Amino acid sequence: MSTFGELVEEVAQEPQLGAAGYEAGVIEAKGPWRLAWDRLRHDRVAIGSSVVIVLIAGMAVFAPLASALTGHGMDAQYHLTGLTSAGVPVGPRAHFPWGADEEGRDILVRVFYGARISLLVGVSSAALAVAGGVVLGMLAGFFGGVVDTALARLFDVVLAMPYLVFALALVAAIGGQGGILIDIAVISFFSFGAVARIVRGQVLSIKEKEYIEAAHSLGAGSLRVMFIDIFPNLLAPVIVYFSLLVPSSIVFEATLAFLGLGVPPPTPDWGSMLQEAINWYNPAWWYVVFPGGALLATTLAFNLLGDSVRDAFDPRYNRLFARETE
Amino acid sequence: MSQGPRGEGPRSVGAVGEGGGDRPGVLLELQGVTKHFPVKGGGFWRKSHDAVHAVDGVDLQVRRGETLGLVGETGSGKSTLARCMTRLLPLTSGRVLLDGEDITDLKRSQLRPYRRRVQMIFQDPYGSLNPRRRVGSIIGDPFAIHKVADGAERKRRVQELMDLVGLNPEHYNRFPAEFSGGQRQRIGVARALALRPELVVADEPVSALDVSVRAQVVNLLADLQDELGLTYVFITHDLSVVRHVSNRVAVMYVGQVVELADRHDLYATPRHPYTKVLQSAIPVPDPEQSERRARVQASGELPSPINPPSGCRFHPRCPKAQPICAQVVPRLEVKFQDPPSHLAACHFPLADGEELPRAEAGDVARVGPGDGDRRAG
Repeated sequence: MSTFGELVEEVAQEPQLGAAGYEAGVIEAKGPWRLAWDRLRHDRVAIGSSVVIVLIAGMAVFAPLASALTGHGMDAQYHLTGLTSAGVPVGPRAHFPWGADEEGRDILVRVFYGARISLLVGVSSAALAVAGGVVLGMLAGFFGGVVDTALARLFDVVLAMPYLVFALALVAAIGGQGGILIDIAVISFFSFGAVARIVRGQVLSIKEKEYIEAAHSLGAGSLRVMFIDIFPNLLAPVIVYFSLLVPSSIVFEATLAFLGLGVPPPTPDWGSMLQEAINWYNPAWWYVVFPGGALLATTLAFNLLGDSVRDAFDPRYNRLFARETE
Repeated sequence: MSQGPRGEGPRSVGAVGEGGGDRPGVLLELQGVTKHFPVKGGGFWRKSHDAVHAVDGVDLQVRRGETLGLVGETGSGKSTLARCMTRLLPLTSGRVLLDGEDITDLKRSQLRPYRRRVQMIFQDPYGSLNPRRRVGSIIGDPFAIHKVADGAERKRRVQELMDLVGLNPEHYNRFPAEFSGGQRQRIGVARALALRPELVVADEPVSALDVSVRAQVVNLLADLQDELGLTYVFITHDLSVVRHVSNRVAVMYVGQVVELADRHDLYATPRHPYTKVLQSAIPVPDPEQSERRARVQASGELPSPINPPSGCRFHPRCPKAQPICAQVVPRLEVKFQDPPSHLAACHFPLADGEELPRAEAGDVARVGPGDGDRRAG
């Protein structure tokens, strides 16, 4: 039993083991964000999908340029050059690189402009859903009790609602009068529940951690604990969820547009283009392939990037990576 | 139990009058502190009325400048008691007085000024530091929460603290994951000391550490006590550690204090059979000595705190138990010719030098101070 006392004496006599007795680290310190970023930078899939996303964003930004180069307006109809004498849309050729639609409009220009709607709606409804989900999920998980019961049931109700039926009902109610804001509202309403549920679960486990108890013992208030102590631990899953929510929102938007709920007709939109293409895909394959391909490429790129982001935040990958570099 | 060269004189003697019967400079007083946790479950229709009796009627006084050791097996309610002291948990009944002021029923916002005076050091150096925050910001938390210092001033004071606890102040911007267990515990110590508290409740501060690192941290705590005039409540299941650091020791068993004494009294003349059993479970690194010494064992498992035994809670496992032990709850009082500071709750206290009868072979579980020991039974 005395041995512990002896040991203490012994240690006390070794100054190099005591206070300030170790060397400053030689290895450069890397935070978890830095490690995730490094991993992402070296991930070929992440780079590839980022390039695709940048290209699509470029399409959206430079859509007027495409319009100027081809000389075709976004919704101008070219009955003479865009349609054959029989009234069938012309296929890809010099004047119409991606062909024309049944009204003689340039599909390339319309796909470029359509990227604007897809990206805008996709990113903003994902952001709105994540923001709402984080706030409500944190409130539910942190305060528990009645607040939790009420909010958790709300998430369940939202998740249980058949959104397609709801969308069809909405189409019937407001028809073609929908706008981009209604799109965003509908999409984020149907998406926030899943985020909120995940956040709530995370908060439930984080709030039992000893460092949260430590924050309480220092006298921290609820808001401080939520935003300074809990929120940073939610950031990684939330970023991952956001990056996976963007493509699903884009698909959701296309679905709504396909059903007739979305931006009003003359404005080009991938979903509504696909809907119009239904009657024409047999002779005019380009009518389906180009907007459909753009939609596919966008959602695939966002999904792959989302997967890579998730991998980058996964601690197992962190460790693997740390071994590679050291 | 072997006597080493370091038998006498506690490592840290504050301004304590040894063994005074009155209340010289009582900093924290617990009066009948009780904490029950309701058990979830029961039937679908009826809620269960069971409760875990984590802490049951504990009276304790912590004197200014001393180190009060709190020992007991896992599940004896030490940590719950610590959280009642620091008012991290609401009490079921009883009172907590800090410097004579009743802080039992204060709300969270009202407690804030007291948080500055009472701080905790936590057991798990991995769990008690937020992995997503930098060390500088973790240690600077108390300054931010109590609006004591910010900006460059906060950084300067944080680095001062890091230096004080033996961390390199240049590591201000690192994450907890970049430190070893011992260093992390130093971070926890720095955070607890930031606001110069009067009382530090250390909940198993060294249990998670390697033995050599353990000694470093124990030394650090002792040095800081001398330097800053701190009062400690030191919770541990390791009797050899508590013996080294404490002025007084309270032994807990299933939510109650069964013996309270000055350090050397407790080790020289343990009165409660449970204390004796705990002492005999301290491992001796010398195998020859270990073979020779009498190992007392208590039969059976630690009883369920949901349904604690009647009378003396130790009676089902006690080698000296008599029928009365199951019926009458023993009071915590002075036994034999002990000084007034030595209290034990036992109907049949051990006389000086009395050994406990050895438990019979068969279904025997060792009472050990730690988790592993309990499982080994």
